[in-house]
Amino acid sequence: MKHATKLTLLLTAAFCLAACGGKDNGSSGGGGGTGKTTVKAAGDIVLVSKLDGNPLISTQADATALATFGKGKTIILDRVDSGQMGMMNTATCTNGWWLVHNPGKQVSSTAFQGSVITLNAPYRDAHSLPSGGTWFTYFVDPVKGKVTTYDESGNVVKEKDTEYQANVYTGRLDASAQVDAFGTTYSNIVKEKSNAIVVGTVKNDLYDALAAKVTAAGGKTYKGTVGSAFTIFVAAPTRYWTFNEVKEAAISGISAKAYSVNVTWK
Amino acid sequence: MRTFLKTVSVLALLLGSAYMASAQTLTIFDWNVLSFERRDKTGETSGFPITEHLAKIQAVNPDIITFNEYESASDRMSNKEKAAEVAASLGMYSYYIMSYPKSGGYYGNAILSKYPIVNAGSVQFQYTNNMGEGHYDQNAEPFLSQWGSDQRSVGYVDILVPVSATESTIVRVVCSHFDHKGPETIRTNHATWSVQFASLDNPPYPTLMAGDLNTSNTSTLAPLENVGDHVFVNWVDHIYSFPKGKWERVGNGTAVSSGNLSDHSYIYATVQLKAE
Repeated sequence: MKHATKLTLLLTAAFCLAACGGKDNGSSGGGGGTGKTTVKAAGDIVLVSKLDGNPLISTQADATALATFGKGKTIILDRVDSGQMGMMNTATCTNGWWLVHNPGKQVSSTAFQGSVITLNAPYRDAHSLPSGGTWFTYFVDPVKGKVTTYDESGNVVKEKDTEYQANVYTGRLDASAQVDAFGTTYSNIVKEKSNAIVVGTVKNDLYDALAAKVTAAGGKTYKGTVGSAFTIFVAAPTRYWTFNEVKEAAISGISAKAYSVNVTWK
Repeated sequence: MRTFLKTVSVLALLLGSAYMASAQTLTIFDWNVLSFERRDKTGETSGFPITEHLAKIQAVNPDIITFNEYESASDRMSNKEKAAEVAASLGMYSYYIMSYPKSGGYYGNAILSKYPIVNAGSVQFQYTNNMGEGHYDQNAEPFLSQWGSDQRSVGYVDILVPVSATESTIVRVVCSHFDHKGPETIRTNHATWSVQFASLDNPPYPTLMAGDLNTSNTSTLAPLENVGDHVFVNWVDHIYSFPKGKWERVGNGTAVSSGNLSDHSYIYATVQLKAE
């Protein structure tokens, strides 16, 4: 009996040591601290623009430079107008791209501003919602990112690559009438896709008015990079999205930059 | 002075009307291009060139083109996206309607437009292959009689057609390639599903549909006949407009033999939206 009691005590002590000691990787509770971890998923939606109010490409070499940079990627190319579609398609047809068209403002009976989104396979649905003379176009962006696990001190304990099929809408706002209409447009966007995220460009002096419209419609607007004429903006429901930052990178062969809009999804 | 002003006003009205009418007049062109192989298969051995096809199209100068038997981005095409290739040469917008994956690329249909595309969508028809998942053509019984030989699809684009310097009207363009084998009920089903997918029975916009429907029998195409107007047909290649009475054909439709380029003639017609 004495031996049994000693053994029991030893076993109990050993159990306590095992339960209390060491780092807890990925589960809450137990251990020396609380062992609480948080997990976040974040990735980049990429937009290429000059942010100066001008079309993105003016020569075939420009389009080729974009194709070289963007091969295999999903990117929003901000300002590829009707007059540049010939060059854009020439670069597209040998680049593995399938273009989604985002029509912009009609500037004459034969010319439209616009943007394109580069996908890497044929797509079944790309529709647009009007906004006071321009359009916001839906597409599914296979956002590449990381799922990161943080410990209670904010240190990264685990990280893995991920891809998230994001419901993205994109467009360009360069007139008051377009921004005035955007509150309704945003409401219609989130009615269609409650977890949508809008990534686009807005004329610098219209950003505050845009933010007010989105707030009134129940969303939140984030200001990304401010260019010489246009600002990158994100508008999304906070229930599903958080904006982190925009990182910019030069693109070889063209005077435009790639803006990686880093967002967290929930 | 009064007479002068009256004359100017009348002239302005006429010119304005003429502009509006021409802005809503569209030439639609449809072609089953045999995947650019050519009838003697020399297209296949020479890299699937499009130059001669482009010349035929450019002679017509259509606003809208629908293509059938359109292979794209496959290995044998050096992974070239053929809809974009043709669109680049014509200065048009394109949308590829994928029926099924094929040899590193895809097989399906395509719509090209002079005017910006604001919406695009497509869907595969219901289909089961006797060989199971991952098989998309050369079906055999018992599935051939029910679903046809090959996986088919229908798609549309909504395009912004300018009516003035600052305004556009939206027109829907639908394209499909119905199956070529099995009983006529297969093609009737494809017509029914096209009506459902593209809302041809109550279209949100004035609509045109073109394609190789693999039948000359209009009773087979009753689902389309019931809700639209038959604009033109040559053999099995058709052009329809929707809803009934919305469009009128300007002049005659045209069919031109493709010679070696295809076993299908290319067809085209000019249509005009009727005044409200």
